[in-house]
Amino acid sequence: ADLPRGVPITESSFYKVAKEFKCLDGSLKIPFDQVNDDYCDCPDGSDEPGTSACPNGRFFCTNDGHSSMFIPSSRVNDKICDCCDGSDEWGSGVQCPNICHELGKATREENERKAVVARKGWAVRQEMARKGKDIKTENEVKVGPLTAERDDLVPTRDELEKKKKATEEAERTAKDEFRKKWEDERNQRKRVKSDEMFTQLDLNADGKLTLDDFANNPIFDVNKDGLVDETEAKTFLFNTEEADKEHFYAQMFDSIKIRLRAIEDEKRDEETDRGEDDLLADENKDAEEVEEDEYEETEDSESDEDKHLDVPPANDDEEYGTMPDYPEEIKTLSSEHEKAREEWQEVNSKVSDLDRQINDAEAYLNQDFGNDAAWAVLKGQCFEYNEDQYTYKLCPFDKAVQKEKNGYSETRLGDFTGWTGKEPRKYSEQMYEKGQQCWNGPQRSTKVIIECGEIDELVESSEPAKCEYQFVFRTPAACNNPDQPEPVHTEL
Amino acid sequence: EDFKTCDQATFCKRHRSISENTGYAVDFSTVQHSGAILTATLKGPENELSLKLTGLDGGRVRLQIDEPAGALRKRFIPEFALSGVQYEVPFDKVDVQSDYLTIHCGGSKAKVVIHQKPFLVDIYNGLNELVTQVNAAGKLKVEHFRAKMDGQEYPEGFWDESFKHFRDSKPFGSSSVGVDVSFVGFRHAFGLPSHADAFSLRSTVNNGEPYRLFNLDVFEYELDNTMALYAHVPYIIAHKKQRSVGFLWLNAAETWVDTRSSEDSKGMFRTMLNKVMADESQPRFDAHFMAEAGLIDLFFFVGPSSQDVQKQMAETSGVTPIPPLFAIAYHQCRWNYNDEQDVAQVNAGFDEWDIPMDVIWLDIEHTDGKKYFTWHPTKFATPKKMIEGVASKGRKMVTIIDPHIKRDDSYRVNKDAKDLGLFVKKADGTTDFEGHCWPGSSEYLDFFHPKTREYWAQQFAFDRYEGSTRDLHTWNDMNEPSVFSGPEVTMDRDAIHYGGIEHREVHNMYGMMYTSATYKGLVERTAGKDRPFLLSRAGFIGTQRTAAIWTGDNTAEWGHLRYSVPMLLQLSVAGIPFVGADVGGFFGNPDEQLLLRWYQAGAYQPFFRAHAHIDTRRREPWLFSDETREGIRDAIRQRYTLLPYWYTLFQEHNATGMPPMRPIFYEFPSDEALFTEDKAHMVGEALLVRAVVDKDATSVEVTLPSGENKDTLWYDWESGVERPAGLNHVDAPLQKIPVFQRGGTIVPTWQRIRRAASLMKEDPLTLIIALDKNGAAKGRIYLDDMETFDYKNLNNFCISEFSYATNSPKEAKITGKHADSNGAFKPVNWVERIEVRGVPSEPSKVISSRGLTLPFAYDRDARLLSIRKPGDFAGEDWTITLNF
Repeated sequence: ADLPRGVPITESSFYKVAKEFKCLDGSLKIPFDQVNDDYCDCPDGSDEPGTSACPNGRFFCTNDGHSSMFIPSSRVNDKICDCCDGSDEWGSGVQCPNICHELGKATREENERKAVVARKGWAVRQEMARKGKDIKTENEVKVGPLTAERDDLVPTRDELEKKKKATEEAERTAKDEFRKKWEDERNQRKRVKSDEMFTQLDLNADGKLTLDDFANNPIFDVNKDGLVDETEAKTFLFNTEEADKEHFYAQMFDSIKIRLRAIEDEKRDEETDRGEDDLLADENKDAEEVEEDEYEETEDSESDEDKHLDVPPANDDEEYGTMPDYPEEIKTLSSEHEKAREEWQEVNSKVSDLDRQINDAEAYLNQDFGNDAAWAVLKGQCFEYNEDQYTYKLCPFDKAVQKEKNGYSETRLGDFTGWTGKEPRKYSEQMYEKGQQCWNGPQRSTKVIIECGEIDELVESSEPAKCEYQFVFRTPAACNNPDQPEPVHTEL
Repeated sequence: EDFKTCDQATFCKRHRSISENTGYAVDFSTVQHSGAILTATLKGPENELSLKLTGLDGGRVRLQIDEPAGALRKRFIPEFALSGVQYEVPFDKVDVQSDYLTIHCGGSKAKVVIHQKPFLVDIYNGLNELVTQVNAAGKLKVEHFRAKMDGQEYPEGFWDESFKHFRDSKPFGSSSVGVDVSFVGFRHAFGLPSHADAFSLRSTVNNGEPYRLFNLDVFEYELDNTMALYAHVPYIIAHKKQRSVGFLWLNAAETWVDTRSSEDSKGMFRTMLNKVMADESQPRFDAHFMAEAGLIDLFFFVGPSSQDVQKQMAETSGVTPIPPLFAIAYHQCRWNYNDEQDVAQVNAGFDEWDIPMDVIWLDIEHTDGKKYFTWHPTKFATPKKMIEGVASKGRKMVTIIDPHIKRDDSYRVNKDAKDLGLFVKKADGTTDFEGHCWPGSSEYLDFFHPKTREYWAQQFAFDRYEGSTRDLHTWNDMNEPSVFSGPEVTMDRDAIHYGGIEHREVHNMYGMMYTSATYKGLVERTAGKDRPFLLSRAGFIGTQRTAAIWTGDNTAEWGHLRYSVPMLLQLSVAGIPFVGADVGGFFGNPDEQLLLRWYQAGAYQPFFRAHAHIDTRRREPWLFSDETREGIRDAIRQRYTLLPYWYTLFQEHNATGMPPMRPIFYEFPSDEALFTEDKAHMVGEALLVRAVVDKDATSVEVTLPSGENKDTLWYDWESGVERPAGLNHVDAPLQKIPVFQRGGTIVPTWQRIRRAASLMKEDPLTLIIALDKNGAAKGRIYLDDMETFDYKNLNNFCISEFSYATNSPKEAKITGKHADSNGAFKPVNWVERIEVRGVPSEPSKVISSRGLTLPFAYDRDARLLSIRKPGDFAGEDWTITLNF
């Protein structure tokens, strides 16, 4: 009863009425009437538990019917009710009603509700832990046989791969040989044609093609000025003054053929154009058109002149024929190779599949699924939360995703990087990082706050800062044994 | 690149290139004077002008040069920028000589000499010292209104001008004005805010761009630059040892100022100085003012002290009303707090970590589609409840309200404004001007229309602005105005305001007209009872009467922290005292060291608000390391400790014009080495602040001024230990803010730091007394209810003066004295402790005013005395006697 204001009963021994008061840090002794006299004497603030005088002091609210607590001295008599029993506003003139019983009741109800959830959740968690252990065991058990099976297959696969390579090589060699033979024949035919054309172009028949031979040949009048000038001629002569048959075949034959084909195409186009012009022909056919006609006539007469040049077919295949089918012996080699490849592939994909299964199993073994492995059940599942505009999806141990409700595109909000809860509540928070880059900003990331719940559900999503998301996920896996006290959060 | 250079503004190019005297002379036959006014005609080769000189009270002279009567168009005078009636004082005497006139202003406060040919005006202060000259370099130029005539040659861009793809139609042609003003005998001049540049004005003549004054929304502004920013006051104060002189260019159009500090008169301003000044090696500061439109309307403030000049400026443009206490405490802002839950969590976070905070702000995202006065339907569904939640802890909220109005028929404000014809018009004078801003296509309210101001004010009524309460205050942003789709991100110059005024004529005062309408609304919503708080980004002469301003969108870089000091000093000397820079930097993410140092600097600047861009990471103090969080908490608590002092300084400003944050030369007018100081500044007369603004600095150099008589004493503010005057190397570890108390001062403080300032109003005081060489000190405190206008309407205020006097080696007395008998306010604040710094020996006895012996503690090494619980009330008369 004689306890000074703001002191908890547990500290009553320090505040016994006496001549002197000793600051709790032992630094100073002051007359006892200076306790709670609204002046701060003790460096640790202990002489003013009931007033706002000390910057580092604290006031104890008993809060009968609810939890008692300390508040900073600065909240004493600041006209705001902080203690539910109203004891902090003893001198400010503000009437703070005692609401501890209501609050206490509400809190107890809330705690009971939470306890029910925790109890149910804890039961589920034990089931999850059992399943989680099974999953782990299953995977543990799997790894050995899978590895053995894989190791068994590997020599066979390697053997088949060798065979595949050998048949492949045989097939290729035979085909190359066949193709080369055919190409040689074809080139000989082409040489004959080349020599024929050479003779045709060699107007003066001196065995050489010179500028003179070109000057008189209208097919080389590329710019259609009626003259074959030196530049035009040289284009076809390929930088020589005179060409023999060898040079002609090697350097000139193909481009002259292209030229001849081009002239042919031009002619065909002009004929088509003329047809169209006829269709369009009307009352005023003017001088320009007449001129054009004259020009065309000139051209016609030119093409009359080069009738002695054979116009080559549209492409080489047409001119020299295509390669014939491979003979039967080569076809046999091909099917042998195909068979070897299929045999190898079948075994190889078995090995790859085993590798993947081994990796998956090992991932389960290496991931932190909690001491009792309860979290393992959540791997491979996804949970959604719907908001106004978006659906948010959490696939624990994998990724966080945002989906536009009326769209198909998904935005990755991050891939799982680990548990980030502060000890001893490590399993209360996960991070998902390196998601899609924000425009003008960082890569998206998501923090997942994990709470105890009766079922697995994603219950909240927010974006506290641009591109930094926060989910709240409830799961029985986060429920602790209600009969054991929760680990204390040391931060606060 | 996005903004014009002088060369790209044709009028600036024309004025800047003047090299010969433009040749005006006073026609003496036209001189007339009567009472406080003298008029005459100026004749020049280009045109004829009319001159009008007006003598004002308190050492102020106004000189106007306009086109003569009968001009084609009336030039705009921004009278709204002035504080009201400018009281005229008749001339004592006017002497007419053969080639000059001497006008003796009323009460011998100033003298003006007008020379006939070439036209030149000399201004003398009350001590008969020549301080200012007009047209000494003969750059007077007025492009008169004229009719466009075919076949006539006009200068480039005279009738039509383009910048980028924007065309300015200039239907009235060019009407620019310019003249040179020199401060004779002065090497240093200050002001022309706001530029991210040194406090002391640089020389721009032949050295880059002139200072540009044109309110613009500048994205990521550059430092060390004379480019225009958000707020501009065309005002200069020049200072030399013991003397100051001020000059105001009353013009709301785009203005450029070419400056030059020189040693003698043989520079660009070659004049007839020889005639009036014998000493040719006298320094002078020349400023060539050039404006796109308007009048040549000049105010001269002759000082002679800085305090006098500041008062003269205050009488001209007005002062800031005493802010409500919460407004000078700490503000927590971010673009954006996401929803009501976020707001509640931030509010709770400050309590959880026991960090004081007074105001939570909401940026544009709180609205429904950027329609101001509305709330986001899901994120801010119950605004009233949210505000009440914050207010239940003694705190306030602020929402943003911008002048662009979303073009949307279903938006009430748009529909009303359209129906009532309240929007700015396009050049055709009839179609509503349209531009892009936050909401997309928007229209802009024309605050030059009296009906607009009336309508706008009404929107703040509690029943009109749904969800608002008296705990909700206002932030006016984007009021340069910002027009994303406009030339230089602002409004077309040929847009038309009420009365056929072109936007070019009023551009720089648009934002001020806007905030004054908002302020009116905020006052009227409580029928004149509560003091509102209003923050504006744009600013002009007179903005201080209604709003605080901040330096706009700065960046989280050390340079921006460094420049916050000179930028706020520029504004302070130019009459806008309630100023701040975004703590932490708006763009980008500050590292912990920068953030902490910024909080420390901000704690000692007038407007103290943390703010951040939407793309930045969250920055609430508890998101950082323990060390950073504690450092931030400590910086904010230092601010709250000094709130009684800051509050008193704002009252001092209200009474005298003196800004709370002031350059050192205001207090030490003789310490020449400190005239250009850019890192240290004074808070009031008592504290010198040298915040750490350099990365990784663990100590700072600071020169503590020694004063006129070389006897000023200094004390470390935190420890109370004496510091010598002169150059000091001060240890400044991460947690330390180098602040020093000047000997001879008494600073009232609150040592019981609560979660919000409003909860501390009635708390006891601790007086911090720093003794001077004579063992004396004095100080004052101003107290009232700190939230209503009762101090003004009901004289519900209290001023007390404190003093410490050493009467003899045996006795000293500390007194408190109720100093203004008009004040009816009875403070409940009692003095819980007195700390005296620099006490030479231990007292034998300390006796209270009631004859009681007071316990005390004395620290012999540090010479500190702490007196326990004197118990006297701040508003009463009392004396404490110290026996030695």
